[in-house]
Amino acid sequence: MYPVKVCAEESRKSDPGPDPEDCLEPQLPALRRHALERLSANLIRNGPQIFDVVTRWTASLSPTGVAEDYFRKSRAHFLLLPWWAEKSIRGAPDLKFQSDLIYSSVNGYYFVRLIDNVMDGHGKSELRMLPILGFFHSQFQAVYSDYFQPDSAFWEFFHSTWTAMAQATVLDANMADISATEFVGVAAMKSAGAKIPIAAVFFRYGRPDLLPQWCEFYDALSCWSRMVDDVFDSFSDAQKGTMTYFLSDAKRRKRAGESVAAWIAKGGLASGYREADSLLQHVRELAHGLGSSELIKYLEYCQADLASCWERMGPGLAALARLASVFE
Amino acid sequence: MPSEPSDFEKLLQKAIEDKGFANLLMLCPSEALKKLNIEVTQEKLRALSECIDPLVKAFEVFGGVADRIG
Repeated sequence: MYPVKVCAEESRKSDPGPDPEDCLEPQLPALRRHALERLSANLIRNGPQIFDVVTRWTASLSPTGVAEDYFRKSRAHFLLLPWWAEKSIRGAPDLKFQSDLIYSSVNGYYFVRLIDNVMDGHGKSELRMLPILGFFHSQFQAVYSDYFQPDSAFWEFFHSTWTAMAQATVLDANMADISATEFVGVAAMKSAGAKIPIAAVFFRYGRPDLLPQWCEFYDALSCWSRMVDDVFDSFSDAQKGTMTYFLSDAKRRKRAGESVAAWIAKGGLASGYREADSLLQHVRELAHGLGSSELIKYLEYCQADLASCWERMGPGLAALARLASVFE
Repeated sequence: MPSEPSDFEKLLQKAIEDKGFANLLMLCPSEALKKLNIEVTQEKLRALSECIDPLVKAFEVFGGVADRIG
């Protein structure tokens, strides 16, 4: 499908630009790099004949072709939230613990990415990589065994969250029409795995009482993130036949005889942008109760970045809306 | 069954996925429209001449924004 091809080409030409999250947490780049080096070392030791396949795949995901850059910008928050959670309760994070959490999360993310890509039908090469899921999952889970005994309440959270995420992914793939209620339930749970390293922080330091408010925040953040994806990828989703809440809403709201693409160009995208912005306001309100000034700054950056992207899209969108009016 | 794409959707998709078509659209828009079985009118040709750049660059305008932010 064209969006994937064009996106990949365009992305590789572009410099990822400055990272606000790296400015907020200068230790993050080194920990991120270390996680990727650790992954490579484990592959060389235990699966040398799949090393090249995995290395090529992880590089191909990254906008720069450098694997660790995949975990910058829009994907930085799931590495940073456990860091900020630990800072909020004890000031300086334990670097070894955070390094392990980042290593686990990188593997967990690759596990989910590979499944998602296969489910989205991205290519036969990824289908042939499915057995490598075992490696990613073992690396994701094994880290926690160093910190939690088998009878720790952490494991109950781990298993219930991981299963709920799998359930949401299956439900999402089978939805033909997504309501607002379903969107909130599924969008929040589809990326719920990122709550596991946050929970690890609070269980390790004996503060599970703080976990619910971080989970509420993370669920809201996931909804916002998913809404941004759905709105701004809506043209390509429509072409690929990917059903999203935004496109379901488009079908409900467009005029009879109007195409979804025309509705998007003529006002739907603006409506979606306002809805995403409103969700982010809610996320920011929840963040204020978490005791992390860095998190607040990060969300301010997200809001400014979204507004800036929207501003840049304005002229092109107006032109497409005019074409839609003439051609339909 | 998925519904037949509208003229706008056909134009948008083809302009983005096929650089040859995008070039034809810029050089000879009436020929390009005929290739898609879209009725050629003066109003459409005028609109295309005014909006051709955003159409050809539609994916640059919209695509990947979510990946940069979300």
